[in-house]
Amino acid sequence: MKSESKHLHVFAIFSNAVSTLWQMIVPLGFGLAWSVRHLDDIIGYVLIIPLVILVFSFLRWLRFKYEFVDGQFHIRSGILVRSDRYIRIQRIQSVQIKTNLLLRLLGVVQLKFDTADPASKGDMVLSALKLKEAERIKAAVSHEKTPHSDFAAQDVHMETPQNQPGRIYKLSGKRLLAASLLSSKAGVMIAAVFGLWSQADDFVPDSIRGRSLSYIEHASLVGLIVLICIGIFLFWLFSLISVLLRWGFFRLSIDDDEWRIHRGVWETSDETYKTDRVQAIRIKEHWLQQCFGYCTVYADCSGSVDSEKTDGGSVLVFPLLKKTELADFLDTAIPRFSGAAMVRRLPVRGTLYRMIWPVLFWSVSLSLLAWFLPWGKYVLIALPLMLAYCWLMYRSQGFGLCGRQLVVVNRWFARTTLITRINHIQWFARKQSRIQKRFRLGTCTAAIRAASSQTFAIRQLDIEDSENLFHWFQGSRH
Amino acid sequence: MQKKQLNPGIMTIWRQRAVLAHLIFWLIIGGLTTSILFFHWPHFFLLIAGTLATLNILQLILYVFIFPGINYRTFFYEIRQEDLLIQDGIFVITQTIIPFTRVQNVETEQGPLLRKYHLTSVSITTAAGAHEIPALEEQDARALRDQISTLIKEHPANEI
Repeated sequence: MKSESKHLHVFAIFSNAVSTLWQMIVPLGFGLAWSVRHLDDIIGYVLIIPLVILVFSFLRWLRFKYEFVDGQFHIRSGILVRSDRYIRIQRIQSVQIKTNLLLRLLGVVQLKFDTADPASKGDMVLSALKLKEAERIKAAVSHEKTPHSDFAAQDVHMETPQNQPGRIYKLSGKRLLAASLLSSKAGVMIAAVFGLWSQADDFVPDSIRGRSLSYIEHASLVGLIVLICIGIFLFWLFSLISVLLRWGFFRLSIDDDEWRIHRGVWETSDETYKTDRVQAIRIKEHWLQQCFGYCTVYADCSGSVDSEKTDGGSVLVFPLLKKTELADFLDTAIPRFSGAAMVRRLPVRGTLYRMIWPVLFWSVSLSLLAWFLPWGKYVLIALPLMLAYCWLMYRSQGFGLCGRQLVVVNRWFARTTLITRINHIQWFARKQSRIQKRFRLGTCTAAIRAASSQTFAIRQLDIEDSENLFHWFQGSRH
Repeated sequence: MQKKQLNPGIMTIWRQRAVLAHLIFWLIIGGLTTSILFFHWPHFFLLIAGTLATLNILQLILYVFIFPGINYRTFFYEIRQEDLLIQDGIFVITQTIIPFTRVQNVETEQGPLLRKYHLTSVSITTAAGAHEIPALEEQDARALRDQISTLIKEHPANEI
């Protein structure tokens, strides 16, 4: 089926040019033109720009309309360059409903759809809706989606009758407190306090002398340190409370192929994700969490996920889980990622090989510091600590292979266990340099499709393992 | 299918590209030096200009005389039953497997240098980034593109 190749209509040239120009001219041009008379007093300018923005927002609101047209969601928008978007409802991957304090007072929510496209194109945001209306749209979307996949769903039910739908995980109050205690930046704060304390007598008096802040000058050094400590404590408390507010009332309900995640105290969000969209499960253990045997579970999903999330595009599945409960949790939440494989450590010679760079880098840079700075010699104390940490970090890495499942353990500050499956890996590469060949080492890299494309590497593994992984990916893919 | 190498013309193209980049860098360094001399910029900037010039000469040696040959020798691609294998690299040799079921689109591209030699670069995009075969003869590139797109059709991308 070959069709003639065609040009767009000639007007495309103008419409593209106009839309680009429009975007540039409107905010600047109108503001300038209307405020020429008031240019001498800046207030005129200040007043006119919000007015222009308001007028355009009003026009945009007037133009923005949505409706359901037989199985498609239709959005009309645009003032000068008008656009119509039809989205097949089956293609909608997730629905998110969000509110914050201000919107809540008005009884209004924000609704967001994700499709599998990259984040910039794939998102539709209906920025303010009545809650009822949002619920109605959500229901319509999930209603529209089910009849088409009826047969598949029935098959699944026949096979796994033990998979009872509607399982709900809640974050209890105690857990919430523990989660926010363990996840707020307590460690960093403690380190910062020690760091400041150790350097206070070096630079604080100097830098403050000569300023007119006389009350600080008269305060004693101890007083200063106490002040700093209080400041840090307040900062820590603030981060603790922000975590509490973000993760409060966390509830994950699992239907047979959907996750509903509700969270937040003031800014609540309701998110629905289809589990077949999950490309990898990521289990994160901060060192503090590791001490108490807890972990956090994230999911990497294909398509667009909120970019404003702090979790780097991953979906937070559950904030705090005992490691002993993890297998059970995965079994219920997403069976195809459960049953984690045995994780093998990487060979010692690989770790030694990897240590070359940090040893070189840190010894050179710290020696330079020690040479040029008057108090630099104390920095050298940090060298063995730094290298020991690097060693431990590299040693704790590993990988596991079990059937179609690949598990990669990595550590930067937090230990991250990534579980993915062969059919989610987009491409696979192995790398080897001459030196690596001599030591019989290799590096493997795999890429999965997440919010942004994501590669993860297993560095310096035994060459036979690298060979095995390579053949595993070629062989058992289908 | 057997391993296939690039068209040898690519070495010349790599060299020409390197020389172009080299000339552009000389322009920048020249501009920096003149502004130091004429606008009375501090003289230690000359040190920076000197470093840049040395690096620039090093770049010329590496990218014109050494790297193209090595890269040409290491590079090959192989179209197999269900996937594409690409080997690339200068110091670190990378072998990449891209299953056809994960390919989202195949794109051919031809700049002025490539056009002079009747070559085309082909890039294969998956959901997680693109891989490039830098130079193929035009009909080879078309054949590869068509082959990949028919193979994609045969294995519909049902695994998301």
